[in-house]
Amino acid sequence: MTAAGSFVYGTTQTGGTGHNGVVYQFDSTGAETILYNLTGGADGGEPTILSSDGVGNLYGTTVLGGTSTSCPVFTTAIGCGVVFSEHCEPDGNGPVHIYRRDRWGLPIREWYWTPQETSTAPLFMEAPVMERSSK
Amino acid sequence: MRGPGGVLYGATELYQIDTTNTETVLHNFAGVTDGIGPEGALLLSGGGLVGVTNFAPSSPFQGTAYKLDMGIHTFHAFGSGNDGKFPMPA
Repeated sequence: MTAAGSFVYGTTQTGGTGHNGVVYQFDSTGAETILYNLTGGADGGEPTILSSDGVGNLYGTTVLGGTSTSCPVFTTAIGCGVVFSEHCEPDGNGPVHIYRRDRWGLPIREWYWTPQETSTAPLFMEAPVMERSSK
Repeated sequence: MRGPGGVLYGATELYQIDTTNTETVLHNFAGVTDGIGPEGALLLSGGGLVGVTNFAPSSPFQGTAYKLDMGIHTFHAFGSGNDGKFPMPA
């Protein structure tokens, strides 16, 4: 869950039309708008965290789905749909720190991704400079 | 989270810790209409603090969103229709 402007954005673990969670927006009156229904396929399922970069993009992660055993990262404009992957998390302005957590919340695998600027939005390309296990 | 005036807020019950480290319980979730299992940080938005609970024992059982300003207001109960179930915390 994250706040941007007068809106609050968040995810649900399940439910929605795809039964794999939604990304929602609450306005200042508490009215909910569903921005995206996850399908559990390439866009992921069971979203976990949601972060905003403060310039109109939401970042998210999911437990399920995706197209790769590595960790595709995503960003898209608020309100235009959000693509999710496995447990990924932007880590400041530098390379993106991506991790997978176990049921106790401990990171068990970690990657670092390098941003690749495009004309529309920053994308991220995998740069597997680190992969390690904490267990 | 740290709110206006440097006051700390958190939730299992909702509590406030002021700048003298004095705790005040603001709300105990009764689980009837206000949900149970509040999780995560609270977000400062729209002049209040917004949070979610992961369960709600009254229908539809699948989480609530609440706002704390002059009182606590549950403004959404998840799980009806296609609005999602079990909101994730901040």
